[in-house]
Amino acid sequence: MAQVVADREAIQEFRQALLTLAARLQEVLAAVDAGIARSETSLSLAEARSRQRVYQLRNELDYCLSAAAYGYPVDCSSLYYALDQAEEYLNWVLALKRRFNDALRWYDSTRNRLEKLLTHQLSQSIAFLDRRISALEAYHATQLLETATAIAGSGIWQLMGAVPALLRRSQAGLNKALGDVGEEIAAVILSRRYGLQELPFTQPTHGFDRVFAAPGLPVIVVESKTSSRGKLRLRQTNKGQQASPGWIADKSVRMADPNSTQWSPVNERIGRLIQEMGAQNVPSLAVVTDPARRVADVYARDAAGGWTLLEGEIRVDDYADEEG
Amino acid sequence: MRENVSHSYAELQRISGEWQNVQSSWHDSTTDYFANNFWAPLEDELTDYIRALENLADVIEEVRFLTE
Repeated sequence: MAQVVADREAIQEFRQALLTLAARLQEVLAAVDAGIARSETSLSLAEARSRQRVYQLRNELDYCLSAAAYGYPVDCSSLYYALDQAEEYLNWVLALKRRFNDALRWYDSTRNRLEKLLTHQLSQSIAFLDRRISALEAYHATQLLETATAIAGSGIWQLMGAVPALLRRSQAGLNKALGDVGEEIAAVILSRRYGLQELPFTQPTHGFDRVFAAPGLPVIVVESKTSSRGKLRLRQTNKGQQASPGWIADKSVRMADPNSTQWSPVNERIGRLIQEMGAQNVPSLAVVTDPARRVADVYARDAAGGWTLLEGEIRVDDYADEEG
Repeated sequence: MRENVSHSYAELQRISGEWQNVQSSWHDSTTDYFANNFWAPLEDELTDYIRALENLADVIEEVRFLTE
């Protein structure tokens, strides 16, 4: 049996720390931007003043040398010295400007990479942690823990064992927990049994449960259900049945719309990919988990819009044995 | 500018500490996935960013002398 020991509170605190980090880094980025702007202004002014000073001293020296050539009793040595000093200062300013520009180029490249990472991967990180927290909360709900700080046992396998206990509790309050359990099981079966690769995305409240890919199939939409009777029941919506082409098309539009709550950078990419492929060409799978009997059925949407049973009665415990 | 470097270092240390705290109590297969795909890239980019920021702060400190 695979072992998972995960402290839900530690994950929650880390999740919060990630969000705080992003907010504080945004403050640092803005402050540094202001510092850069001030420095650029200072450098430009210093360069202009230095050039002006050198120009003036050269003129004065020329005037002094002309006067000396005409026999006037003038001493130009102080102007020579001042011009040397001014040219030296100008060279220092120009060298500093070059160093500043080099440092700025390096800074900009790391800043861009960091910003990109914060924009694109932070939401995925948070979504990933949210899924772990949900799974652990489902486990927590079973009250099988002896302490509040340590959660013993594997995510889904222990959860499966805990599901009968869940079912004895208020169904309404446990729907979300069961949904999370079903999703975890669906993900493991599809990845390990069918070799599909899960695509990280920001899981919206009313969107796809999971998204997978396989060679030649860049997007596969997956719906996961839990049913004590093992029956596939997909909800009807005003855009069609869940996981139908109409429903997928509607979700893909929302995922790609920055004004939608279902938008995120990674969701937008998946949404646009679906739009390019055409929702009718996006394969859909449904995994129905029967938590009481510890089995799962996998269905695929067929060309006629119906659902064909690909494989039934998959023993989820078999995977626990594989994990050793 | 120096205080931004300090703040960034402090943030890196804080988030690293939080991660070590999580790692000590999260030992399933998803830990490695998260570590490799999310945490490691973030830590690397953040470290690179702070080094570049520190370098820039040194130069900006010199620029500040121009106006003093």
